[in-house]
Amino acid sequence: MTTAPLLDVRDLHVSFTTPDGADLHAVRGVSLTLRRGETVAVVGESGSGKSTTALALLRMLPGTGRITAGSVLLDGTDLTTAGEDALRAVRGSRVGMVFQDPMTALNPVLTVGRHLDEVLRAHGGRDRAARRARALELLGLVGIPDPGRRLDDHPHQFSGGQRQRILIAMALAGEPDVLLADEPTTALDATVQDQILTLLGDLTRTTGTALVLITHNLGVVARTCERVLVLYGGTVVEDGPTAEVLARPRHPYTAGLLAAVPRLSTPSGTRLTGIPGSPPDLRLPLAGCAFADRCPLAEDRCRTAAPELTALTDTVRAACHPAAESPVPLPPPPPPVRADRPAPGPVVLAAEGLRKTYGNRRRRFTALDGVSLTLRTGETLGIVGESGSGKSTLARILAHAHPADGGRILLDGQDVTRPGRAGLRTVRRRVQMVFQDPYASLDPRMTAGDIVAEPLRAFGIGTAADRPARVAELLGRVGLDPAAADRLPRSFSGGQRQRIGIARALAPEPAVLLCDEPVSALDVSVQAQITGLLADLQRDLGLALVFIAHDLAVVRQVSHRIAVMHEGRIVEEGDADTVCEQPRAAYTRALLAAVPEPVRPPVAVPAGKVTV
Amino acid sequence: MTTLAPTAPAAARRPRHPYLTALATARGRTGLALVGLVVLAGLLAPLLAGHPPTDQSGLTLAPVGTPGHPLGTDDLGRDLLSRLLHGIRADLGIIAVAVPLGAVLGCLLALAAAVHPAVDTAVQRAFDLILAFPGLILALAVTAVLGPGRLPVVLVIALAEIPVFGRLLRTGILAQRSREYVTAARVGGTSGRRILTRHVLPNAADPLVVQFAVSLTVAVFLEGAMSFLGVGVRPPEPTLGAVLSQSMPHLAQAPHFAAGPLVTVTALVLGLSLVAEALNREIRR
Repeated sequence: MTTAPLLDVRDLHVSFTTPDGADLHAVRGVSLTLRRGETVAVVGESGSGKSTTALALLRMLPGTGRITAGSVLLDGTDLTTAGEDALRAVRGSRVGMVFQDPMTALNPVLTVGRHLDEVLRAHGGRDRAARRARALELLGLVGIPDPGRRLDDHPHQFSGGQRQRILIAMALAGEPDVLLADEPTTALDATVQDQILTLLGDLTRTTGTALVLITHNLGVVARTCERVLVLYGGTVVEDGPTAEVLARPRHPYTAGLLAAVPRLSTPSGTRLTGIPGSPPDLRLPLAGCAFADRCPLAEDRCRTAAPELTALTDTVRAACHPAAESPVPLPPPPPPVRADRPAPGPVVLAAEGLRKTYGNRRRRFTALDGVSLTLRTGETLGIVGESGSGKSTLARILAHAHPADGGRILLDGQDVTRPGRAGLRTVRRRVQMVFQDPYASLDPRMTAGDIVAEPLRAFGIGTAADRPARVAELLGRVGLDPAAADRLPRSFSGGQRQRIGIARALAPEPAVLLCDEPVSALDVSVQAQITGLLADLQRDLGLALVFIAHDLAVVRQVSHRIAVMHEGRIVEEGDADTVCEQPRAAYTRALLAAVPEPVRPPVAVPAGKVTV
Repeated sequence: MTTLAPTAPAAARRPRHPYLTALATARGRTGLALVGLVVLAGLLAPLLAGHPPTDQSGLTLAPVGTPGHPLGTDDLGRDLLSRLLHGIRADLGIIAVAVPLGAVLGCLLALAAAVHPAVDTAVQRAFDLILAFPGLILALAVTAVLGPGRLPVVLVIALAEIPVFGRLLRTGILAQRSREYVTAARVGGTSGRRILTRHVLPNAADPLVVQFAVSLTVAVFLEGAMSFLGVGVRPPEPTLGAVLSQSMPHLAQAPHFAAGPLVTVTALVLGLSLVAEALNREIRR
């Protein structure tokens, strides 16, 4: 314990300059130590500064980013003042890095062997045959089957998970002391994520490499790392052993984040727990605690004096005024609330044997292969599946964004598979869609008000004079300030943008709302707000919802029924709780097993024993 | 449950248009100043010149600083300052008609191509056909039919610019059309025409603005080259290219003869390039 740390980051500050000249203070005094062979997770939501911290360690900040204060000591050498040559010597050979998106991180025209060869040559491998042998060994190490044959394959011949394995092999090629992994599994499906995390765990154990894992997913942390650092608003709010922090969080933000993670064990019809409000604006100077505005325990001093990271026990440190004075951990979160849901009514939308094939005569890809489903008024049908399972295609076909190749779609009992011009207008008024990416699904040049008013115009609802009032009503309905109607999408946060998308979908008063991964681009603390909003809207307007997601835990809580999709087919369908507790299909069982849970379900502690 | 921050600062609400920000940079200002200077000279030509551009005096090839002829005279005794100023005026008149004409036609064709795949193929092949001719060959071919003059120059420049703008906009349309907000608008019931004009076009327009500035410089060259080769505006009417062409046999005795048009064209092209560069940088941010 007394050995000098391998990596010692002290009071690191990083700023960016925004296009309008303002300073964005992304990292505000992060300190972190890493010993040889240790595994540390850095957890936070978007804007917490976790990725910026990682990039700043190797001075690889993009654009206008710069380190304004602090030091990064690697074995005593300060990297913040090191020259470019010294940094190059460190990158790869002392600190290896794995990035988020394995799809774009490999050069498509080079073979995997060439990728590895290049890294090995940069680290002084002179002998060609030795480099090839080492490349083979590395591919074997990261679990690519038959490495001898695969070495001369190109990146497109590997799956996403295999590409991430190759990237890990490249990061390990220089035998680094530290492996920095920035959201290494976020772009991957749950079952593949599981394999990659196991691989990372095994590699750190066998090679003795220290691991810094950056993630937003507490389940990933619990699975991989010994220690965890929780970041919020560019500062460390809590630091301690993973088991301790996740079981007995000291900082209210950590507690809120934990409570917000959907648990697979929570039954259908339960509201997700969220953290009210939205993350701090990093352009503004911070007077007190960054979390004060959203904190249930906030006191006056929290808004004026920034709390220091103080040791609460031997191993746990937290930056919180109330927590520092309280000898006990925070009380466990209140049990989840059951939502009052009306019983589903008659069938509004039905699909029979839908088929869709993409591609041409030479290369065909069947996206949908005989999919049938029914949807009732006031009912939520959850559709779960991994990428490529056809769930998004299904939503787009039901919304008539793409035509179906075969099968029938029935709306209110009428065949609307190939509607005429007038029929299409009716279908579109009744069936609306909420999209996955709240950044891409809003026209960046239109104001929020214009975006919401567009369907009103398109369907000729109301007159031009009373549209602003209707837009204001819709914005209010989704929890936005109607005065925000004249602002452009870029001035809203992700959650707020998704609310605009929902307001737009509600404008023509639809009966069916198709939600294609509506919360997967949002932070956990915000996704509860959006699912809660959808549940409220369903209760008030009697909407039928199709809720598409890859996260089974979320789907179970919001859905009445669940359909599990795999390779264009529905492999299992049934009552939400039944599907999750007594899965029949092997694929459903695999999906359930792969969901990373942050902690075991909390053991109920009798009230009297807490204050011992 | 209102989640908006209580008050956003008023200044942040309506940020300055990025084009204005671009033009306010040092690069943009310098470019605008150079272009403005040349344009002003052209506009005020009748006031500044002092002599009509085709009047002949007894002095031939007078040097710079001759009383009454600050830039001297040409081989026929015409005032060079007056010919330069009126040349700018003629040039600007041509490119100010030709480039917008080419841009508008190119964009219209690209929009038409976006409507139906068959139209797309036809338009693409037509663009290929125009691009297959180098600019000057095209110029010679057009003048061979129409004879020299102002109209053929305008036509040649417009023709050369049509595929440039057409292809650029088509690329933009294709890129924007695959974006999710376009699907969202379609599912929201918005008509195809409105999606094209209200969503796709504004988002695909940024590169066009940069291209417009670049095309103006190309047009300056093309006009100069045509006049220089004698297939442009008919003498004795002055253009920058014509003055330059005329100075060629006399460069040994009177190098100042060519200086005026050269400096002007350089200033104009440099200015337009700087503006294009400034816009480009701001847009790419």
